[in-house]
This record gives sequence, structure tokens and C-alpha cells, in this order.
Amino acid sequence: MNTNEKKHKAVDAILKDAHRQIEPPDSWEALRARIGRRMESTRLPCVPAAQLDRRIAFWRRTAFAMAACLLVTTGLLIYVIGFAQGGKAFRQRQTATVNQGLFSQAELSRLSKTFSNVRQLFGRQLPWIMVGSGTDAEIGVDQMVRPAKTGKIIIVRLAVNLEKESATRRYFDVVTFPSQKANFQLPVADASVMDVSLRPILKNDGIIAVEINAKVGGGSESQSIATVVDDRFTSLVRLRADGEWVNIDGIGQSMSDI
Amino acid sequence: MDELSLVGASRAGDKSAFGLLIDRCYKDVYRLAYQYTGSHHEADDVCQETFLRAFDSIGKLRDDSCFKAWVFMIASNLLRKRVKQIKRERKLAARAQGAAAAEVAEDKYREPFETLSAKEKAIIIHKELQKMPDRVRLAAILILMEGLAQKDAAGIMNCSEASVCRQLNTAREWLRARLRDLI
Repeated sequence: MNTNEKKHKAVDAILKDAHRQIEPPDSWEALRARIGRRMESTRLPCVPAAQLDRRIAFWRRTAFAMAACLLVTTGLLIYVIGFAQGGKAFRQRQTATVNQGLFSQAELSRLSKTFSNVRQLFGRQLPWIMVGSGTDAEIGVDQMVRPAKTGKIIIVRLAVNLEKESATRRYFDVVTFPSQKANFQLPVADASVMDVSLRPILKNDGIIAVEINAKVGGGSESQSIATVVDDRFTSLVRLRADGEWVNIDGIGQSMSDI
Repeated sequence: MDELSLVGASRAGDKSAFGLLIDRCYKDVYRLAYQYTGSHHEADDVCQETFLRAFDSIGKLRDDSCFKAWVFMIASNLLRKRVKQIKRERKLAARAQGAAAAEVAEDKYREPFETLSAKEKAIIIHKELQKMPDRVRLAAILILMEGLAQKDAAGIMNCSEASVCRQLNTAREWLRARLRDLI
């Protein structure tokens, strides 16, 4: 043993001896009693997951993860299928609603014939007619504007509906010469009447545009110019009547004057 | 009862078995805490807290035969946190008072070491230990004073054996230099 090692040993021995001399200011028993008191007040040890067999813990976690994945996938699948079916049903309903109330050939013929009869009554004046799906009907003349194309007539069907589920659409057919203005009244809610000013315009390419101004007795007013077709209703105006929103959609078709 | 069965019983919630385990090592934990913090009050607190934590997390003990080393690891972690806190508090206190802590006169210890009592020697060594860097001090306490193997000390200090060996050599050189007049 060299001198260095001897010195090391001497220091180690002194340190160990000094270390053993350390004791609490009161006594070891007092310290043990304090630890015991603290232990008395503590709860039972918790058994953490780490204590379990690691393989069991691994498989348990894997099972949880897989169950979570399955749950999410199932949820997504249900959502997608439900959405697809719901969307399909919605589109079907929408198509049915949109296609509902389109012109039939019989209706067009009847309206054309009626207008022809009315026109004969008015001689050189230019009449218009409005025929509702109920008992509403109006006839009028517009002498202010001479239609450019008297050989043609335009039939516009207005669909009026309130924005509430129980409301049903009501239809009103208006027959005029192109660019001729028709002013009439439509019943909207229980006690309200809507003043409508309608002027269908036949463009050179055969497209029909409708200039409309609608005003409810209370004061709500809306106007627009929109192109209409004959196979799908186009929204024209939206306004309030008796606290309810009223939509007016339209389709239009031009015909030869009989 | 041997240590393994005591640990098993403690894991099942047997407080009396855990009490026997405490009896086996609470003095060592206290000495470790005192040498590290330099305060009986802190050592007392850390010692109690160590056993509370050990009982609460005994389920995490993987090797039942290493109970003492595991308790030392808990104590070391607590001590490191506590010493950091103490240093911060001392700094704040020193700033507030605007004066450095008074130096303790050491001249009275410049007597021949053999003539001193064991308690006086312990005080001198304890004071020298307090001047060491924290990790060097911990290595010295665990290996030189508690007699743990370097491997176990490395596990407790969460570092490599080589690192522990370096710190141990530093501690020895430090103590030799400080105690050369006394030995």
C-alpha cells in the first residue's frame, strides 16, 4: 500500500467516523416518532400501472387504443352514411319541391286560350290577366307601353310561400305581352295583401327577364330583375308580411299569340 | 423478516412492515440529508418527506432488494431541490440585508486532530463538506460515508460510473487538501 492509498484510507476512515457522529439535536427516537406520526396520517400506497406486468400493461393500452380507433371509425362511418342518406333525401325533397308547380302543356294551352279571349274583348288595347290557383283573378290593361313583339305572349307563374313549415305554396299565373306591365294584388298572409307590379321582358335570344316590385300593405317593399326559365323556379323577391318572411319565386315561358 | 418480504408487505399496504424498513435506514437518510443541506431542520424535513414519498410510490420499486438505494435516490432528488431553494432564499436574504453572511472563524479548529473529540471532528468535516460543489459532496457522502458502491451511487445520482469516479477523486483531493494540517 503506497502513501497515497494510506492517506485515502485515513481520510475515508475519518469521514466514516465523522459521519456516524451525526445525529438529530433531540434524539433518534424523537426523529423516528416524527416519521411515524407523518406515516400515520398518510393514505395507503397507490398501485401505479408501472407496477403491473409490462406485457399486460402493453396489451391493455393497445386494446384501449384499438377500441378508441374503432369508436372513431364507427362514428365517422355512421356520420358519412347518415349524411349521404340525409343529403340524398334532402336533394330528392328539394327536387320535388322545385319541380312542383311547373307548367303543364294543358295549363299553358288553357292560359293562352283564355288570354286570347280576353284580348278580343279589349280590341286594340293591350290587356294582361292574372289567374290564381284559388279564386283570385284579375284583368287589366296597360296603355303606356306598346309591346315590341305583339306576336308573342309571356306566361309567368309566381309561386308565393311563407317561410314556415306548415305553409303551402300558392301559384299565380300572369299572362302579358312582352314588356307590358301588370299591376295586381296577391293575398299573402291571413289579412295582408301584396301589391305586385310585374313586367316580363323577352330578350332577343328568347330569354325572359322579370322586373318585379312587391309591396306589402304595412310598408315592406322589395324589387328585383331576374332571369326566369321554365323548368326551375327562380327566386325573385323576399319580404316581410305580418311578421313572416314571404318568398316569391317565378318561372316563365313565351308563346305565340293565338 | 427479510427485506424482500417487508417490501412485498409494504406494497400491499402494510404500514408496520414499512415501519420496519424505515427503522433500517432512517438514520442513514438523516445523515445524508444533514451532510448535504448542513441543517438539522432541513434534514428532519427531508427525512420525513422521503419516507412519505417512498411509501406512496413503493409500487414503482422494480428491484425489491435495492430498497435502501431507492430510498437514497428519493432523498437525493428531494435534497437537490431543497438546496436549490435554500440557495435562492439565501441570495435574496443577502440582497435584502445588503451584507454578506458572516464568515465562521475556523482558527479554533487548528488544533491537532487527534486531540479533538469525535463530535468536533465531525463538525470540521461537515463544514468542509459544505464548501464542496453539490454533486461532489453527494458522491462523497454516498460512497465515502455511506459506503455505497460506485455503481449504486451512479444510479442514485443519475449519472455514469465514470462521472461518479471523477467526482469521488475530486472530493478526496479536496478533503486531503483541507485536512492535511489535521491528519
